[in-house]
Order: sequence, then structure tokens, then C-alpha cells
Amino acid sequence: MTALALYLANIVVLPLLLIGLIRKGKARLLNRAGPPLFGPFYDLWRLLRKEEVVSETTTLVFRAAPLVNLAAVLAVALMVPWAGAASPLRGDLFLAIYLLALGRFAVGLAALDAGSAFGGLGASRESTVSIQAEPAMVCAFVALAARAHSSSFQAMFAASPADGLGLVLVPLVLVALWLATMAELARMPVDDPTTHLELTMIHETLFLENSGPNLALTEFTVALKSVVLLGLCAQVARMPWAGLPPWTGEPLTLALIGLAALVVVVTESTAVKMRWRRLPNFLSFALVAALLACLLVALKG
Amino acid sequence: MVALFSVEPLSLMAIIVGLCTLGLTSLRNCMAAYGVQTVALGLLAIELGVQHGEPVALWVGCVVLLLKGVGIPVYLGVVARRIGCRRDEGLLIAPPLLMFATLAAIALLVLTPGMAAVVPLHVWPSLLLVTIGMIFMMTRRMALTQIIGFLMLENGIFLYGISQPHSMPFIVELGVLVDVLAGTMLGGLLAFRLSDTFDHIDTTVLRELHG
Repeated sequence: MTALALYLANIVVLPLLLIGLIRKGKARLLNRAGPPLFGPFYDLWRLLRKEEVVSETTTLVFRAAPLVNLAAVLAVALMVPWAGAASPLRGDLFLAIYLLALGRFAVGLAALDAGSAFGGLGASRESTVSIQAEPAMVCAFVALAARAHSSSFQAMFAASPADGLGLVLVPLVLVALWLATMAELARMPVDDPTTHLELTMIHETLFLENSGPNLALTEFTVALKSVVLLGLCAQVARMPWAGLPPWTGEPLTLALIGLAALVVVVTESTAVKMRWRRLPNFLSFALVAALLACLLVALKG
Repeated sequence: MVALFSVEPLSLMAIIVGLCTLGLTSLRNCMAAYGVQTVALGLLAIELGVQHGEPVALWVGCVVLLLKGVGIPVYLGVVARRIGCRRDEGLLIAPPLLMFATLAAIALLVLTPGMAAVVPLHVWPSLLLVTIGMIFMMTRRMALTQIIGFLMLENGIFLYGISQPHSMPFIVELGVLVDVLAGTMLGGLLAFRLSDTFDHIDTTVLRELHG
């Protein structure tokens, strides 16, 4: 019972804390005071009490999409052992991937539903980035699943990398997952999350039409997806130390998520956003790393 | 099917770096990747020397690491900066597509059932590295990246030399190293001359008439 309560507390508290941490870190790196650490919590509370402005051309799709997205990402968060502890529901790799894709599809439809050309631009750009990033993520997990002979996340992360294969496999999968995660979460160098210029937005175009409670749901979903994907990267990075006792799982995962947040902070403060046409060059390395990992696992037998 | 995973992690890393270099378009990154690959092979030579108790391999590894792994990328970087050449877009197909095609070719090669009997296990990494170097050399348009492709091919030959059960004599290794260094310096000089004469080092347009 306490494990379940802790898990739910993770889902409620960690996402917004992570976003607050990243924002604070970016400000501190530039020697500014920055927003408060619990800023995203205040933002959410403020947005929930605001009046919503909805375009007249929208239909049920626009109202339903944030709910579908949140439901999908929440289901994935409950299914996948991203926090280092066992998840309440039993998770399967393909179900998780399809749920994330369902969420993305719903948000893309909502952007198109608003009737402006800008929504179409955003949906098209986001789909283009997802086409390149999603296969990398899937293939990286498929390599781990093939090695563990099971598509369950628990079995994947429990497979001990004691043999020499693990030494080469874990970095490859981690590189593929990291690049794909940066693309999925619309972080630098794929996309600048703090841009105000609509022509340079990829991910934020989808949320520009939302306001009030819709925006609150959407922001929470993005934060939850960030923490789940970074948690999965942390689980892969934790695999070489599978021999440690189980109670170290959660603290180690939190430390690794903090480290990932630090890397995100430094990258966002120093890197520039890539030109749109150079994006396939960048994301192809993710897919190549993932396919290499699959090839190595196939060779092992 | 070849059990490549049982091969040294350092030579696997050299192959992976070579594969990723196929997708790079920036000259500076290509040279850095070549440097990383050569350092990995130098470390492999040192490790093999320590393992088998051969001081020859140790010295060869150190020399390769310093001269080829650090010296050549620095030298070619200076040449590239003086010429002002930054990007190499590749010939015919885009670098990422080329990277995928090479990965597919390598996968086909390695997963074919009869291959393990035809090619011994210790030859595989050098074979793959030579192939990758050749593909890199063939599909680039700037003279400097073609030189890097040739150097990667030579890395493959070096890997073949140190992965043999009985290592090559010291004098042969040093001779090859001196040849490679001299060839690279001449290549750099030629790139300068090309840039002086044509104002670019794009080999695909060298046949254009001027004036």
C-alpha cells in the first residue's frame, strides 16, 4: 500500500519538480535568480482557475485531445518502472509505445482542429520529428527486449549485463534513447522550448491554441512524459549495477534523473537550435545506434 | 553467423566510430572521429602488448596513439582551417542514408550463415573497418575527407596487423606508419595547392574550365 502511495506521489510531484528544476538551473547558469523551484505547481493552480478561450472552429477533438494525451501518458507512467520501483500495472513495450503514439496523434489532431494554418504547420513538423525519433526509441528497447527474451519492461531491466555484450550494448542503447528522448520532449538542439517565435516552434505550436484548464492538463502531460522518458533512460543507465539491493532503485533513479536534468540544463544553455533541414542528419545517429544494438544482440544469438 | 560480440570492445568501438563517421558532414567532426578511432586502436595495441607480454606492440601502440591519433587530426585541422573548407555534403546520396545503407550491408555480411567458415573471427573487425574506410573515401567530394577515408582504410589494415596471432615485425609496422604520415603530409600539401589553383577542394568540379 505504501509502495503504491509512493508511486502515485512520484507521478504527482516529480514531473513539475523536474520542470521547475530545469528552469531554475538554466537561470542559475546565466547568473540570474530564476523562477521559484515550485513555480510549475503555482502555474498549474493558476491555469486551472482561469477562463478558457476556445476557437469557434474547434469540435470535440479539441476538447478531448488533452484528456486523451494525459490518459495515455498516465497509463504509461503506471505501467513502466521508470521510477526504479515496481509499477502497479504490468507493462509491455509495444503497449507503451502505442499509447505514447496515441497521445501524440490526439494532440496533432487537436492542433489541426483549430483551423489555422499554423496548427497544420505544427502538426506536420511534430510528425516529421516523431517519424525519425520513434523508430530509434522502439529499436533501442527491442534490443533490450530481445536480449531478455521478453517484452515486459521489468524483465528487460532485470536482465543482468554481466557478459561483455552489456559493456557495449548499454552505451549504444543509452545514446539512442537519449537522442530520441531529446527529440520527443522537444529539447535542444531539436527545438527550443522557450522560443517566442512561432516560425521556430515545433512542439509548442500544438499547444498554442490551448488556454486555462486545457493548458494546465497539457503542461502536466508534457512534464509527466519528460520524467517518464528520463526515468527510462535512468533505468537503462542503471543496468550495469543490477546487483545492488532493490531499495537502492528509487534513490539511484532520482539521482540519475537529476543528472539528466543537469545535462539538459547545460545543453539548453550552450547549444543552438539546429536548422530544420539538418534534423534528419542528427536523428539518424539515434536510429543507427539503436539498430547497431539490435545487430549486436542478434549476433549473440 | 559471426559472433562479433566476443571481439575486443575497443575494436568494436573503432568500427562503430567509423560507421558514425559516414554520417558526419562537418570536416572538423570527421577528423575528431578519426582521432578517436585511432586512439582506440592505439589503446588496443597497448592492451594486446601488455596481455601477451610483447613490448613491440606496446611501443607501436604508443607511437600510433600520439602521431596518428593526435598529430594527424591536428595537422589536417590546421590545413582545413587555412583552406576554409567546413562541410562536405557527400556524393550521390546523403550521409545519413549512406550510414543506414552501410549498416544494412554490414548486417547482411555478418548475418549470412556461411560467413563464419569463410572468414576467421579475428579478421572480421579489420575487414569491416577497411570496407567502411573505402566507402567513406568513395562517397566524399572534398579532397581532405577523401584523405581521412584513406586513413581509416589504413586503420583497418593496422587492426589486421595487430589482431594476427603472431604480430608483425616492428620494422614493418614502423615503415607503414612512416608511409602513412608522409602520405598524409603530401595530401595536405596537395589540398593547399588545389585550393590555391581552384579556390576550392571540391573534386567533382575539378574538370571545369576557368577563364
